[in-house]
Amino acid sequence: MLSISKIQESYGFKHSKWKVNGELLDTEKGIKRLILWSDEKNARWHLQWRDSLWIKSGSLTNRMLQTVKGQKMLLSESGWITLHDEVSSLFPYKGREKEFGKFIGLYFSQDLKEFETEIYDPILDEESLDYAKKQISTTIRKKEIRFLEAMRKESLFRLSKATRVKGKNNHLKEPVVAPIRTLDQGKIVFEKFYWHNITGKPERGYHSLKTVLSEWLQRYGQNSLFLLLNEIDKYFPLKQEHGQQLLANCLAPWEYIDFIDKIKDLDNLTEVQVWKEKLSYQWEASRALVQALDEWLDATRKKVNV
Amino acid sequence: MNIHVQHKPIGAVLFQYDLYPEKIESIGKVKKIYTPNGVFALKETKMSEDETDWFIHVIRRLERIGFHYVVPILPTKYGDSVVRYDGHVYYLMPWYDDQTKFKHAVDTEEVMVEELARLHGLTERTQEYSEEVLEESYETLKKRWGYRRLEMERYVEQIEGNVYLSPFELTFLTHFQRTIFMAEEAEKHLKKWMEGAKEKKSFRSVLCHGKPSRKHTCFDQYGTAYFLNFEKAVLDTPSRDMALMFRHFFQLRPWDEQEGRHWLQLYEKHFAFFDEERHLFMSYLAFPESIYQSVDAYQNKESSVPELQSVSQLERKILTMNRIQRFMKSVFEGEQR
Repeated sequence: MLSISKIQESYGFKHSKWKVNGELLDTEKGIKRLILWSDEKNARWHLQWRDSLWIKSGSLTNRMLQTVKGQKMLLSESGWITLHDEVSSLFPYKGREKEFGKFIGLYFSQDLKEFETEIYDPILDEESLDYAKKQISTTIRKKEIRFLEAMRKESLFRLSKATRVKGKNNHLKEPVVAPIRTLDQGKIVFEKFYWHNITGKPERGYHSLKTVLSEWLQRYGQNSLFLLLNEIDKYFPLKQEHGQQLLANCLAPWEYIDFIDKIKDLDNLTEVQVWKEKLSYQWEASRALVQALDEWLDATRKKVNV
Repeated sequence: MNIHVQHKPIGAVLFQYDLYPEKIESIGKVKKIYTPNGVFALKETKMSEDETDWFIHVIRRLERIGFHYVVPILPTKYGDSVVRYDGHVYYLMPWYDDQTKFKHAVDTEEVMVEELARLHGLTERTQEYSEEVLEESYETLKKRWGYRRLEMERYVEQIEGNVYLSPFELTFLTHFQRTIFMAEEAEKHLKKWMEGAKEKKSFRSVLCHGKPSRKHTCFDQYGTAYFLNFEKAVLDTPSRDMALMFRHFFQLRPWDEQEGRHWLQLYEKHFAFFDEERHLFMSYLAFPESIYQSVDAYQNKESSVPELQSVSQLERKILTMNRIQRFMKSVFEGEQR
C-alpha cells in the first residue's frame, strides 16, 4: 500500500489523515476513498467506463481522481490504486423517473470499444442447475430433499420459458456494463445525481438492469416503474429489441443458483432457513417484475404466462 | 461547501474542482470564486461539442508550443479541461487582477500587438495551395460586400425621397459617397491579395484569437499581457486577427495614421506580413462595415438609443473611416508613387 505521505504528495493535498485505515482519507478537499485493484485491466476498464459515462450522461460519478502529474492510477507494492470522492447521501428517487430513466438508458446503451478484460458472463442452463444441487452438503440435501427438488423443478420450468423467450433474439448484442447491485449506488451531491460505480468485473447482459427494475418496483410501485421504463426506452430500446432479452433474464432462476451458492457449505438448518426465506422473497420479487414487464412490453409480442 | 441558493447550480461544477468557496461574485459570464486556496474565475459559456473539442485543442496547442501569454485553464480533479453541465460549458482559470497602473510606463496597445504577433508567429502554417479555395474565399467576401453596398444604396434611395431628413439620415447621406469609395478601395485591396497569393501559389494560416481586445487581455503590474477567452479562436489568415485588433483599438480612443503605422511596424517586427496579406488586412479595415451596422441598427430601431447618440456614434465611425483612409494611404505610399 502507498504511504499516506506519498498519496498526499501525489494528489497535491495539503493535509490528510486516515478516517478508515487504507480505505478512507480525510483531506482538505473532502473525504476520498482509496481503491486497491487486484486486476489492472479491470481497473483500466473502469477508468474508461466512468469517463465515458460522464461524457455520455453528464451525470457525476466516482471517476478516478487525477494526480498532480496527470495520472489516474498509481502503482503501489500491493497493486494499482485509484482515489475517488466519497459521497454518502442517498439520492431521493421518488418522482424522478425521468432523470434516472435517462441515466439508466444511457448507462446500458454505452458501448465501450474493444477492451481486453475479463467480462462476467454467467450461463444458466439445465446442466448448471443439476451441478448446483450436487454442491450442497449431504446432510442438508437429505433434510431439505423435498424443498430442493421442488425448487429445482420450478427452476427448470422458469428456465425453459426463459430459453423460449431468449431464442428469438439470439443475434442481439448484449450490453456490457459496470455491475449494479443496488439502487443505493445513486447518491446526491449539491442537489445533483451522483452515481457510485462498484469495482466488480464488467458484466454482460441484463442482470444489473433486472436489479434496478426489481428494486424500483418494490420501492415505488408499478406505475412509477412504467414511467421509468418509458424513459429508459428512449435511450435503450426495450420495446424494440432488448425487452425480450431482459424478460428472459428475469425469468431465468438466478435466485436458485444464488441460494445454492449461499447454503452449499452450511450444515446448520437454522441458517438454511434464513436463506430459504430470502429466496422466497427474491422469487416473489422476480415474479412481480416479470408480470409488470410483461404488461408493459409491446402487445404485439407473444405473452408469457407467469 | 458554503454556496448560497443563487449559486447552487454551479455547486456540482465546483465539486469537480474540489473548490470550497467562501464567497462568489458574478461578473458578467464569469464567477469570481474566493476560496481558502486562492481566487478563481469560472467562465460559463455555450459551445457545441465540436466547438468545445476545438477550444480544448487550442488551449493544449498553446501549452505545447510554449505560448505563455495566456491565462491558463485549470483542469478538473478528473483531468478535464472543461465541464459540460446542464447545457453550459464551464472552465476555470486562476483569477488575474487586470492592472491599469504599472511599475513602469506601458503602452497596452503596443504590448497587445506584439503578443498577437508572437502568437501568430508560433502558430504559422503554410496551407496547401488551392486556387479553387482562394477564389471561393475571394468571391464570397466580394459578394457579401456587394450585397451590403446594394442594401445601403437602397436605403439612400429611400431616404432621399423624404421631405425632411433626420439628423442621422442627413449625416449618413453626406458621407455616403465616401463609404462607397472605401468599399471600392476594400475591393481593390482584396483583389490584390488574391492576385498576390495566386502568383505566389501559397497562403498561410495562423491561430487567430478571434476576439482580440482589451477586455480579453489581462495585464500584470509589469505590463505583461495575458490573453483570455479563446472560444472564438480559428485557423485563419493573420490579416483577420490584426484587422479585428485594429478595429478594437480604433474604438478605444482617438488615434492617427502615425500611430496606426507604429502598431503595424511593431507587429511586423515579430511577424512580417507578406505583401498580399497586408492588402487583405487593409481591405478588412477599409470596408465600412461598422458604419453600415449603425444604419442597420438605426433602421431596425433595435435599441432605444436617442437620435443624438446615434448621430454621434455615426460621426465617430465616419471619423475613424477617414483615419483609416489616411492610414491606408500612408502604408501604401511607396507602392502608389
